[in-house]
Amino acid sequence: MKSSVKNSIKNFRNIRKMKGQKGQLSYIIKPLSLVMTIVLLLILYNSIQNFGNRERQAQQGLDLTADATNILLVLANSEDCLAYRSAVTQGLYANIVDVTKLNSFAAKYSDSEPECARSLDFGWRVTVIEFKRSAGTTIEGSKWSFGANEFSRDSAFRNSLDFSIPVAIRYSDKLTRAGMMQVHLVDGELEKISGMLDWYCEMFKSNRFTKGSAQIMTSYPLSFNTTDGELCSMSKEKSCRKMWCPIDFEEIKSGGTYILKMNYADGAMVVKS
Amino acid sequence: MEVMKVLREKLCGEKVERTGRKKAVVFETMSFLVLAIAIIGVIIMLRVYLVGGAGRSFGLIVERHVEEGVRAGVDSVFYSTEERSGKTMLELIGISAYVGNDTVDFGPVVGKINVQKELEWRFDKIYGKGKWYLRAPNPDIKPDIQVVFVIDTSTSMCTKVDEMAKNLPFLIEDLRKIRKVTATIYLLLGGANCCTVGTHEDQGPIACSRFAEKEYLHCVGLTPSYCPGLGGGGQREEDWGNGIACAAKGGPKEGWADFSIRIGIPLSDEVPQGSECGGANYCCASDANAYGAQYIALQNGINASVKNNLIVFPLMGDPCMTVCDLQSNSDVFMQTQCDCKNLVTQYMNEIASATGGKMFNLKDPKDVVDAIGKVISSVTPTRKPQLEAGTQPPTGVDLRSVTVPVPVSLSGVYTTAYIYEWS
Repeated sequence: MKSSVKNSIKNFRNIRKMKGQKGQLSYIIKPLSLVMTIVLLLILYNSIQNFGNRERQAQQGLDLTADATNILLVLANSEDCLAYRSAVTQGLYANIVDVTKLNSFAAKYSDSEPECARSLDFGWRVTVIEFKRSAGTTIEGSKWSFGANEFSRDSAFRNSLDFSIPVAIRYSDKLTRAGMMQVHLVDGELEKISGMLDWYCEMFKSNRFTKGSAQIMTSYPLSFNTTDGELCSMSKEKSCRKMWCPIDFEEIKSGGTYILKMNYADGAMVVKS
Repeated sequence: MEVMKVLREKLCGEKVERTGRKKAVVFETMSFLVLAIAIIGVIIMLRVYLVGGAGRSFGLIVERHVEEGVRAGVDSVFYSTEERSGKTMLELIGISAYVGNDTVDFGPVVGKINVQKELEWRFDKIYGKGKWYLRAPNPDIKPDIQVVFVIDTSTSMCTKVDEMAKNLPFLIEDLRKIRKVTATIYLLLGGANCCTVGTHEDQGPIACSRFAEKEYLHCVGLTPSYCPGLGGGGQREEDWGNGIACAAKGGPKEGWADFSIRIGIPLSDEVPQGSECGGANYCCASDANAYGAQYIALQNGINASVKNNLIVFPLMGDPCMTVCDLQSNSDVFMQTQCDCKNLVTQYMNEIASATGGKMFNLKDPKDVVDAIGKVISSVTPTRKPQLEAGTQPPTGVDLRSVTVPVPVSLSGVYTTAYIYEWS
């Protein structure tokens, strides 16, 4: 009887001891769980941010790639651009470009994109190279180049892409040569801003809008060269793009985000920041 | 007892409390784990659907560009022209399908064009070497056969021409059931009067009137106005050397058709311009260095045939025979012609081997039509089953393919070109 009482008392003491330990464990686990939960939430937040950025980048790459393909296809297959139309059948032939149009584009659009394939988001320059055979080897023959020759630089430059598509260059009924049309497409601040201004210019000219405003982001000062009709970004090395409209442009003296207010008066677009 | 009871109650209470605390700790840990798993799940979902989705779209856009590029490459190559012939590669594939060969012969001015090689350098430049393959099955086409006969019209040929006049129309008609065959008979100027050996009965001259004119069978007299130089220093009616040269250049009555099989059949038992060799009767032309008129006539025939893709199958009548001579009203053994038999054989073999043909030695006049039948059936060219260019695609690569209908304009049918590209 005495011994069982002793044992019971011993058990009771042990339980008391354990109870104290459990209380201590709960004090450690609770803050630890809280800290780890916060860490996990931070990771989640960071991941969402990260994925958002990556998605935006992928989307930009997607737009750039889609535009590159579209520009090449429009150039090679649109009669307004380079596509050859047969005078006999009045038919257009896929991916056959007319050498007379090529010569004319190379002369007329040496520093700007032709309207038929202008992109309002990106700037581009195209080079067409023909292939021919000489003494048993394949050589490059004539070369034509047209489109913008200056693009956004330094911080204003975002991305660029080089794509190509094969074409046939038609000289005459008896002479058509295989060739390649290569496009260098650039995504940058200058291209976006000039594209936006050109779009407003078209809208104003067709009386669809009388005024408008848009937010722009520029890393460098912007000015308009009225002599050449060019919008210029003053990066370390100046880069300019030809515009469709004459612009009365209020100079932007430093980089930043601006809201441009636009209207159209006396055949020129007035842009104020 | 009381102490025991109290202790027992206390112990029970502690046990319940201990179990409750244990559960709480487990729930705390479990809830943290669930939260962690949920967050990891959200991150994985974002990765898969958000970024993965954009990545897939990007892949699709790039793939679209590549697909467009492959199609544009085919257009670029197929519509580019081969500069000697001025024909597009698409036309050349059609012609190659018609002739059943990768090499197309455009005659003496343009020459031979290897369609496979022309395709290869273009596609190599556009898709890259070893990154493409083209296949265009050749349809089962039997190209037209055009036959020109050049017939010696001397007395010794009477029986052979007679056989030919009787049976050739039936032979051609039979052959036309399988494929398009036309024949033009050029009779060398002269036209001896024929008579029957023994009875000397007049059989009339060798003339085109013996041949019934048909849509596919014509007979034309070969005159010096049509064939300048005919006869040279010897006999016109036996000048099958210059005769075959004129027939090769001028073609059959309807003219040479594009990429037809061209057959020339001289029928004679003497050397060109006669084995009498202008009356000298010395068969001097057996020595090629002597450049006798006979040998020159033979060379004219060879050169013109080679230039115009004429395959020559000479038929040699037996020169060692007796013929009826109506003028002297007697039967005459052709001793001179018989003496020159070997020379005739040599000449005929020479023109046959130079043009890809074969000489036939006629033992009997009745053999003429059999020999002609053999000639026509022997020239059916071996056709390749398909035009192939590039490298066979390796296994396990993603292939992009373009299919283009190719008109075989000469026969009015279409074949298909299958182009595969991989990168």
